[in-house]
Amino acid sequence: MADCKDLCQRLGSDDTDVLRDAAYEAGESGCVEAVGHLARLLCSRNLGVQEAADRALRKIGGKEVVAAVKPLLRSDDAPTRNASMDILRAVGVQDFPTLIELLHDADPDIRIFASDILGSTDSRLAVAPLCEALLKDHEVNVRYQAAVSLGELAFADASSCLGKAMEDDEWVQFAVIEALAKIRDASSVGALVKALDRSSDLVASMIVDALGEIGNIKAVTMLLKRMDASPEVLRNKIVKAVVRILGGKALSLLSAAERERFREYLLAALADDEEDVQDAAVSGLGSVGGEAAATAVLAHAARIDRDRHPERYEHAVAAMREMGLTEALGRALREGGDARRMVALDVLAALPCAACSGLLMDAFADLPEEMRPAAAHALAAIAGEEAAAFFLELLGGDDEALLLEAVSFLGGKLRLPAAGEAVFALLGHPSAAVTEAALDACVAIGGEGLDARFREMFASDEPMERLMAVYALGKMGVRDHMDVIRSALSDEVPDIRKIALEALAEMCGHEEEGLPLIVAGLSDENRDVRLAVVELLGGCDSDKIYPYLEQALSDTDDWVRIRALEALGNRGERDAVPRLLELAGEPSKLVALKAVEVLGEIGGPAAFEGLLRLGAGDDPELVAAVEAAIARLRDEQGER
Amino acid sequence: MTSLFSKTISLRKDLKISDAEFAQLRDFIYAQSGIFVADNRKYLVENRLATRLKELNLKSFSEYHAYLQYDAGRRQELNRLFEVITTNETSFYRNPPQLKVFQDMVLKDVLDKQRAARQKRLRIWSAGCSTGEEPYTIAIILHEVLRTELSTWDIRITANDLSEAVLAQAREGVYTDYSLRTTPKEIVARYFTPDGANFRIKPEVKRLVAFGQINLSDRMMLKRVERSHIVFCRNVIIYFDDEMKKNVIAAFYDNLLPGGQLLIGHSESLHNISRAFRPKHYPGAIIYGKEE
Ligand SMILES: C[S@@+](CC[C@H](N)C(=O)[O-])C[C@H]1O[C@@H](n2cnc3c(N)ncnc32)[C@H](O)[C@@H]1O
Repeated sequence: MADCKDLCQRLGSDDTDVLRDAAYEAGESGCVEAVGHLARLLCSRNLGVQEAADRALRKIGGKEVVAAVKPLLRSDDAPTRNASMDILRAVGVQDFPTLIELLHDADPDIRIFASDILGSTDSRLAVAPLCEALLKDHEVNVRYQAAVSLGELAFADASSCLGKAMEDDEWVQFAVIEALAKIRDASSVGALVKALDRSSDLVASMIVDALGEIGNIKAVTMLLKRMDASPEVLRNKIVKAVVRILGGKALSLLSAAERERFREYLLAALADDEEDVQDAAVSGLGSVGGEAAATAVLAHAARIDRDRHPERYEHAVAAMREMGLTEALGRALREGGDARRMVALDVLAALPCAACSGLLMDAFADLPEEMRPAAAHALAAIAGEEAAAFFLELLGGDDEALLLEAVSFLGGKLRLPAAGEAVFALLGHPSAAVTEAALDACVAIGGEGLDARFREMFASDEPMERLMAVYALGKMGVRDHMDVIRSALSDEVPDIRKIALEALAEMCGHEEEGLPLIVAGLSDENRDVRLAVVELLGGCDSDKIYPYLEQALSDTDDWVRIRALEALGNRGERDAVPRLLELAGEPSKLVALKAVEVLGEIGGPAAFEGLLRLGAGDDPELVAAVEAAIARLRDEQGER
Repeated sequence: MTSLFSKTISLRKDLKISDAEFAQLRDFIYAQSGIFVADNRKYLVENRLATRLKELNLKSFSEYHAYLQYDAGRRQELNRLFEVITTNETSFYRNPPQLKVFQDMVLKDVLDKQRAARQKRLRIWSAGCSTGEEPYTIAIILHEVLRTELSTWDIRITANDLSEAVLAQAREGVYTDYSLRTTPKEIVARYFTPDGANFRIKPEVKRLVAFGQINLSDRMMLKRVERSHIVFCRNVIIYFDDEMKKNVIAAFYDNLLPGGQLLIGHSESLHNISRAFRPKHYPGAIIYGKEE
């Protein structure tokens, strides 16, 4: 990077390319001496140069930049003025006194700029001066901007001066209300509620929105009181605000009469043009409940475009669930159009109730075909034994979605022995998803019958069939199928060998039967199989496996070695330290770094000393890893 | 078998990327390419890379990060990673209204000026050219406009991309009809030869384009690109964060000859990125001009 003096000189050039380059470098190197030049270039007529200067000034920042850019606020040239505003918004906070001084400038435009900039400072120090401007400046636009900026800063200390400003012009009031809403402090509520009574409908509606946003319970009584006397639009807004403030639960605490009255308002608000008013009405109706509410919300949900507004749809469905099993649901299933039926199904899918599964099964046959998977899904989610016959019948069909529902219900949920044969038959299904589900279902169901079936299957010439058989038999009890597992360990297909190994995991501590079979895999020709072995050993709770992990440290594959290292680390094998120190000097970076990490994990004097020696090496990445390992050891020492 | 297997039984639990790992990977990607992977793409990254991690037998995304730095296969892996995080989606005659403005206004203007200055020389830069559809489209348009006069011009279209894989395809110059879905039939007939079910770009079009690898986050590399009359960088800066956008757009500004013009994607804008260019509004396109 060039030195600062040189840059200043280049900033005097008249070649725009040179200027842009120099400005860039001045910014990157933080060359403060260049600030004057850069400020001058900010007024350049060449936009490319202007922009480069702008970026550089922001990068440099500090008092000098504030001082140099300040006069440009008075420029007659709009782009220059805007650029200097933008820069001051970014760096102005670095010279507060200057900003305050500008807030008292004789020129109202400058005072507006200053208020604006103070709003971006994110500093509490800006509150008092802005409050003063808000209450005392005689130019309305300055007061307006001060309110906006106080909102942007959003410090609660501003509430009281903002409250006083509610006496001001309506124009200023708008900004004040917004600011109070942004501050969201209890102290703002009082100010807003007080203003509610003497406000025009327009201002009142802003206040209502703001109160809803702040969400303070103090406002509710006032809002309810205002409801009857308000025109419809405002009333709906009040409904929204009250729902927002109280949330669902508290609504049910209203007295019966109040609740009745409020339900009418909620139903009316459901027809409002604004979506968030509708959504609030939905929440409210969900908690006050009743048939009229259920019918209305269901019809409303059916009108929502669920692809475009999934969250609104879900919201309505959740409200329906809150109301429980209503007549509206049954009616929709029986005689509704597609949209209403879909809503009913979605609601039922998570509505556990005694009568619900019967409702679904009765309606199933009359549903259009494309809706049946959703119905089966809902049923599977909520039903128990009573739906067994229903789903067994589905197993005979050929619709993939229905099959998946039936298989997971009968196998995963009910573990129904009577379904065993039919589910097993699906292992030959062309769809991979169905086969996979059927395999898991078979494992879940278990039993002698399936056991025999899988043993038969293992004799197949089809690798896929052998693989499924080994997987299932392993899961259904290794010890009962050792002959199969043993023979699978020398299958020609590596994945089958892997599955067999994984089946043996629980027997790894068994010195005669399990361990020898597993560690034989360390010399498998396939790297993935060897990885599986090492991983298995790492998770094995036995004191006999250390020599095998050590053997794996000499594997030809880096990742096999890495997994072995990790396993040693997890087990805290101190005996491994000398070997680990050797490995830390490996040419393979991955292995070396892992060895260092593991040394830090295992600890002990030998590891510590070794690490110190390694720390004197000259590979920066390795040294960094060593330092991290040492720091870790130190921390652990400290904790003890 | 392996793929069949992994489809059938999912042995491993799903790989999840933690916030810290995502940040680590994002910073790595950013340092390597300037591509800023926004937070909302976290799950996309997780989803797309999880399969890759399983193939590599890696256990976590931080291991993947180590792999990208130190494994013997890291270079190839980096290319794969870029393929995952970027979209190479492109086609011939993408965004026809913009290309019409390019042909009728921008290009005509530059050609007239060059003729007037008795300098029949034209340099166009296609930055982020993907599999070559964009620079070849530009070359075709030049043929269409200049016809026989073309041989009297000194023309070069410099086409760059980050991904070696897409560049290799671009150099090959063979395309499916999908790439040509918005290309007029007579253009296909004139500038491609059928190659089985595919279409091969003709040598006289290919000749105008020079492909090369470039990383738009590398300021020095960008400085070495020959200065251009026109820069195309469409649907590329969407991947970058604001800081990187500013740097790249500033580099285009520096690269452009006085009076040069920049074309960006129709969903992109220079708002808050650069004030150096003067936007000119045409029906269907905004063209950004550097002053004379
Ligand atoms: C969606 S394609 C756009 C292709 C073409 N310009 C168009 O509009 O049809 C985006 C291309 O930008 C490339 N790209 C992304 N980041 C890049 C970088 N840092 N440097 C160079 N090319 C990059 C990607 O490799 C990809 O091929």
